[in-house]
Amino acid sequence: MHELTEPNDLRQWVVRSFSAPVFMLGLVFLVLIVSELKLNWAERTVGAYLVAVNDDRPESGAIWEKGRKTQTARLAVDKLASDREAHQRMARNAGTLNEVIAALTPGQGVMLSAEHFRELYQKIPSGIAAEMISPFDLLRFTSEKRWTRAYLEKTADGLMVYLLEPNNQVLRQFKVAAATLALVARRSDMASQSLEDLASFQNRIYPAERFFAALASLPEEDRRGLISQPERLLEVSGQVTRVGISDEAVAGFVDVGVEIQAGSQRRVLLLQGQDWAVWRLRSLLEGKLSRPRAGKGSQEAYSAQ
Amino acid sequence: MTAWLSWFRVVFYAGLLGIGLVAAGLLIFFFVSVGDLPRVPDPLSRIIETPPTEIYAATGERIMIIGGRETVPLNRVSPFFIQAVIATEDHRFWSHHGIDHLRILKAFWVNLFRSNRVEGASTITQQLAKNLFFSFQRTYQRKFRELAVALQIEARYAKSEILEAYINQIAFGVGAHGIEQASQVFFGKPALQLSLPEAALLAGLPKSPTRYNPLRHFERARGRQKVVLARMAAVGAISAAEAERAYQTRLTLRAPGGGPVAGDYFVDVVLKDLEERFGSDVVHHAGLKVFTTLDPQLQAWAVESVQNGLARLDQVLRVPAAVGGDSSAHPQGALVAVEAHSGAVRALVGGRDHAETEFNRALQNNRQPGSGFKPFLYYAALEKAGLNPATVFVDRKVAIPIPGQPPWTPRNFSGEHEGPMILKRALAHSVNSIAAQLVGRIGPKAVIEAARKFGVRSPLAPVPSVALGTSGVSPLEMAAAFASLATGGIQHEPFWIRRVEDSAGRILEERILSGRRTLDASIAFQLVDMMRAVLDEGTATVVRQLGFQLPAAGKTGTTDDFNDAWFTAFTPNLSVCVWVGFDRGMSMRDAQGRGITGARGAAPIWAEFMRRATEGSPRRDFVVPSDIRFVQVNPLSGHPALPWGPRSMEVALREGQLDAFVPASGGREPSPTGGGN
Repeated sequence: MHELTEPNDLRQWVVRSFSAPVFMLGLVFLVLIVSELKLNWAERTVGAYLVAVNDDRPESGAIWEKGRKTQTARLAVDKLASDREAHQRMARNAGTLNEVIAALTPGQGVMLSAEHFRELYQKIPSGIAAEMISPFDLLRFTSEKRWTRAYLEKTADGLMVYLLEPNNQVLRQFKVAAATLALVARRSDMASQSLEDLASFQNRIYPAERFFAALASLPEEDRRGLISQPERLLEVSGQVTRVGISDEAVAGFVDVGVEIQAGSQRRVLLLQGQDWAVWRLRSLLEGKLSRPRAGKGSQEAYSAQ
Repeated sequence: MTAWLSWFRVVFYAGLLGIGLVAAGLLIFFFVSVGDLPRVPDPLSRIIETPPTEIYAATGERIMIIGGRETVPLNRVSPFFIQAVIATEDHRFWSHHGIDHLRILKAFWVNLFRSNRVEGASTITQQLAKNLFFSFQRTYQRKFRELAVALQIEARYAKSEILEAYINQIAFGVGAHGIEQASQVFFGKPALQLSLPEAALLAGLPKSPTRYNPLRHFERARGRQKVVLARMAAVGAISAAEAERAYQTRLTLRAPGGGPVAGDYFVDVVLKDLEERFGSDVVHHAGLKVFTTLDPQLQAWAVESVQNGLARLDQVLRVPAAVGGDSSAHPQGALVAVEAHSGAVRALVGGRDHAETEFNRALQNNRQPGSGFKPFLYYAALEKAGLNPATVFVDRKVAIPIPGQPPWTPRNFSGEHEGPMILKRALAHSVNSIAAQLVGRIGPKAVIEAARKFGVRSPLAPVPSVALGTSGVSPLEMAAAFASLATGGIQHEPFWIRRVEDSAGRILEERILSGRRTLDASIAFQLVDMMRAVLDEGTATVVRQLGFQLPAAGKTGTTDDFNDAWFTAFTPNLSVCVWVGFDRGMSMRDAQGRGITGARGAAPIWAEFMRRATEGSPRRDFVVPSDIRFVQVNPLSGHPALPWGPRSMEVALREGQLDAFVPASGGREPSPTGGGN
């Protein structure tokens, strides 16, 4: 047991230092060092331990940070792309120009094929459509085979339309005012009510016979200016009983309300006539009239003299 | 003796305690430190999953990859490179387990006993761990964490996986990450085809990619190559003779002007624009496909033309070659080529050498254009003052009164005055006194208004001298502004990105190429006709002498003291602006003290570029508006030319301006309208 007691003098210290247990301890230490150098057991042990606890450790450091940035960036790009695709999908499925416009917020745009744009264009009353761009220009662009797409961009005060060549060079660009767009929107309105229910027509409601008799006395150009597509009226089932003319002119057009009686039901079909043609018809119906006077903004008001 | 023994006892027990404490401390430190060690991704190849943002030229050629890594498996990399990188960075890589004990001991010895040397002992695995997870801050804790992660990587992955990850992410400089990208950037070939000398050169770069950049410091890079070859020989990968042969082999680097490489000025502009629109993270991490307007062939010619022109200028100015990397000691140059009918930037050079200085003089350099600004003045004068190209003004000393200041007395470049002459001649010969009279008549605000119509955006001071180009503009602005004349008055915004797609090919943004009429077509043509005379018989005839013969119009510009030399000119298709000058605004004069003008410094660069850019192109004239009539006049009197009179000059007049050229009764010579002073 004396080995466990503290040496009392220097000789005992020296003897104890060179004793077998100390030698064995040194040997063990040496074996550990050599085996580590040869077998790398310390590195392997630490490495194995770290592999075992890998999943409990944080995703930190440059590579993970980069991964997070990649993930965020991909989400952002995905959103951009899917928003754009949604607009394109909506545009492809749109049956009218207004459906296209309704889905856009100012600054947004959609790309349509030239064919699709032509289809939408054909659904706009010819007078309004011609105000946007002449159908003859569209025919020319189509025949030249340079026009492939149309880009429609909603702006704060209307719509910008760019007719594009394959390389996105603009063949023609034109702006469609918000007021014209409003007209396009109302074009297909079919109110299930009578003309008296629509305030803007209350001052000028004419029996159908009188209206169409006056219309028939106008030259063909004036009649087309007033009702650009009369065949559409013929398509409607029921009897035209009365016609109203609106008090207001918007962007060079005046609403013409055609009241149709089908059985016990009355409906009003809204058409847009060009103001100069409406003015000529009214001069026949009511005698000499003043030219329409300018109203607030883009609106103008008519008044009989 | 007892005292000594007692002292020994204290030391012994204190030592034991110390060892125990250190051991316990190390153990605690280990467990605490590894607790928040970064998690290692599994598989390791996940580190290179970031999709790259790819930038394409208008021709469809990919000109740059950003962010992502172009990874290659080990069997697609030249064995020479693998041997070279292992010999140089970690020659016991295959045998150690993350730590090279012998190298640590050697580094310890060197660092301790050789004060003038610092030697590292990082293994390839440690370098990989550092690059993946840690900052480059040199602290013991960072070193320990890096070592721990390296041990984990070694314990989990095969050596080949570690090596593959390493060579695919190390930085070689000039934006090249990974061996495949580096091989393409420096040698224009895949990594598998690298020869021994090429592999040795590349293997030496990661030590200090900037310092050993072979495109900029070739000899230094060669020195490093020699070290790598010596290391390869020392570890037995190659023989000494092979190393020597490889060192003697001539290396052909991909020429910087051979196409836009990473870091080019054009790419910088595209990246900046993308970052502004989408944000930096999206650009660098989302993997966009960016289709630009760049024409690689035009770009290569633009780079060559600028470099050749600047080399000639170095000779003329006797800039000593020894100034080496000091960019401010050399004159710099910029060139922008804009497609007239769209505004697409087809070539852009922002300086002598992007590796030397990234400052983009094509966009960021707002330098005075001098007489290059006069076309805006003349447009305003034709539009506002009812003048025409045949209107006569007198070249004489002028003093333009300025309220509250001394009168402005601009002088002609030649210092002489030639008397009466028509405006077309005055513009062709860049007569300052007549320009001063014009601005005196219409006012500086009209000049600024005209410049805005051309698309100039830079701030312009409303002073008479603005007409002589005393407000700074950029070469891009000038090229785009003059393009409005090439199109007959339709202005297109300059742009460089046609379309942006995500990595799946979905369109995120595409450019609509629309222009708007900002100039009157007839007046614009009159100005074009006047500017044609600049090349044909005015200040830029050097362009014709240098062999460029297609229809073109332009204007030279030189500022006071010859600090800036400009030439901006256009064909019906392409508008090109060239600027040369010192960054520090020093005067450019040759050995005889003669200044470098726009015609001498910039026009030759323009001519060289355009000669190559239009080679083989059919001759195309500017479109003449229907109300334009050409009349031959006496360039001094403005009267219709007579067969026996002096050499005539053709002017373009609008229909309303022709009346004055109908001969009056009595056979007198007709006089032009709108005579000036």
